[in-house]
Amino acid sequence: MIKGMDMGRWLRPLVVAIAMIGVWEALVALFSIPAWKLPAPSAIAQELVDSRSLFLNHTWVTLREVLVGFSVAFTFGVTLAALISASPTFRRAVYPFVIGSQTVPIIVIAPLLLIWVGYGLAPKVVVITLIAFFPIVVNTVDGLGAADPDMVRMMRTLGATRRQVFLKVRLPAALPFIFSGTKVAITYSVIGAVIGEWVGSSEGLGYLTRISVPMFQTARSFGAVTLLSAMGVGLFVSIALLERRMLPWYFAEHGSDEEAYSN
Amino acid sequence: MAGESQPSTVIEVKGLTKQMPSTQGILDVLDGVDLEVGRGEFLSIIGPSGCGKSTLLNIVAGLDVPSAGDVALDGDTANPRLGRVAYMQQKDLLMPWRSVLENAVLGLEVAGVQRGEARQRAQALVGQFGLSGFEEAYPSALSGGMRQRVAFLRTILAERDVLLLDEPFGALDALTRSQMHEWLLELWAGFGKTIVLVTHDVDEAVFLSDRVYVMTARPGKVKRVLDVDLPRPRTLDLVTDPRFTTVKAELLRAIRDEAPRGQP
Repeated sequence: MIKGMDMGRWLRPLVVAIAMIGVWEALVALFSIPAWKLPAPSAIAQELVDSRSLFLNHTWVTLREVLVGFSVAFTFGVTLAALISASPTFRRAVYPFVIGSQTVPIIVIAPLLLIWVGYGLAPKVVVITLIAFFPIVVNTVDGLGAADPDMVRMMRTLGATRRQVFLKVRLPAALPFIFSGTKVAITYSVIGAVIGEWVGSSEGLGYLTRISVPMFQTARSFGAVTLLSAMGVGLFVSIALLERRMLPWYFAEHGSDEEAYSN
Repeated sequence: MAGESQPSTVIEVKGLTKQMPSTQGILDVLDGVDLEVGRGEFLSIIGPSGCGKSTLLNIVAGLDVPSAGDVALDGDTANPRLGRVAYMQQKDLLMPWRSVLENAVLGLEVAGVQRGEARQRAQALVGQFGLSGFEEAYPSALSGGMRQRVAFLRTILAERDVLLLDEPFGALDALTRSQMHEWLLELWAGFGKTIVLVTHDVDEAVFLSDRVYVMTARPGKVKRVLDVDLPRPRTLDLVTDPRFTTVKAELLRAIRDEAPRGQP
């Protein structure tokens, strides 16, 4: 979990990043590696600046796919989890297939999706949903089962209905779990968009990585990858910050991971 | 609502028997328990661990059904009792995602009372419960004694005539516990509720109660009913009073025979 905007915490990974980039830059210069084989970080940065409007267009396409796909995955995942935890029969009937869905290689399904749902946004949304709903379902099911049974009994002695028990006990108790699943899902969503674009697309950062390498525009490919990483990290951080805002009680109780590691 | 015309007996338990399945077959938990609680009375139930005290309260609260026997609440044996008596357990069961005030108003919220109105009613009692200034704090920021007082406030704000308390002080240290005893008596005198307290602490039972029911080891039966004829209002000084000691000694004698063999 991300702990605020603390300078000290950001400093260490920053130092590591700068060191790695420095070594890369030095190696490329030292061995005179041609740019089409491995561009230097400075060349990638130059490409990002020079072709910024190209990158911006493709970034927007991919971001849209990620956000739409993730929204569908989230809605589908939470709904499915609610049904699974509400009915043991449904759980037994459906849960094995939820798990089974993750053993099917997505790279095999993706080309078929082009035939089934066409060429535009739809196949990307389907691919993203297929891989991103899974961590949401699993975590939400665990979360909805995590409420203290004594707390549920206490609610019943207050005369609470099933609906009230769900809304006031089960759902709030599940929220930290749902957030954990969501943070995994959002990073999967970026990967899903790239897979979708690789299989069939004429735009997006994933498409850009695919077409740039055969054209010996390796720096452009690396630039797109850099933006994809930044997108994944940025979305993850956004959700972590939203979690902090929505669950202040959770962090008051547990502190942060950083504190746990420092001991 | 019935006012003056209500019967003087609030809870009447007759021939209550409870069997539960366990790994060793059917377990007899309660065996023909009779119990009567008068309106406005402070009654304690004491007995060795596993004598079915908590099961008895669960049945009275309506969380559990008896294998045989009846429970009458205000003379009514037929209707479900869930939501008609307030029940507080040893665990405070505070919701970590709710502030002190939000936890306290839970019963009112479930009953559909307007949010502002509910908060107002809770706010009016916050001082008396020693929670002033902590209204917006999360439970994780509170001490054990304070958490227990929030749970009490939640129980009181359920606005029922009968409070069932299952070892509410069990998890507290001795000092906090005796402070809570005095505080509870003050509160009880002010609210005029009927209290049924389950405990395994002899001092607690004598200090707080009008009457004490002593239960046998499993299967639980009522072994003795002891009147605690000590003056009220009671303060902590009473604990060293010879009259207190006499009642306590009698109660201890009744319990001693029931301690499981091989245990003190």
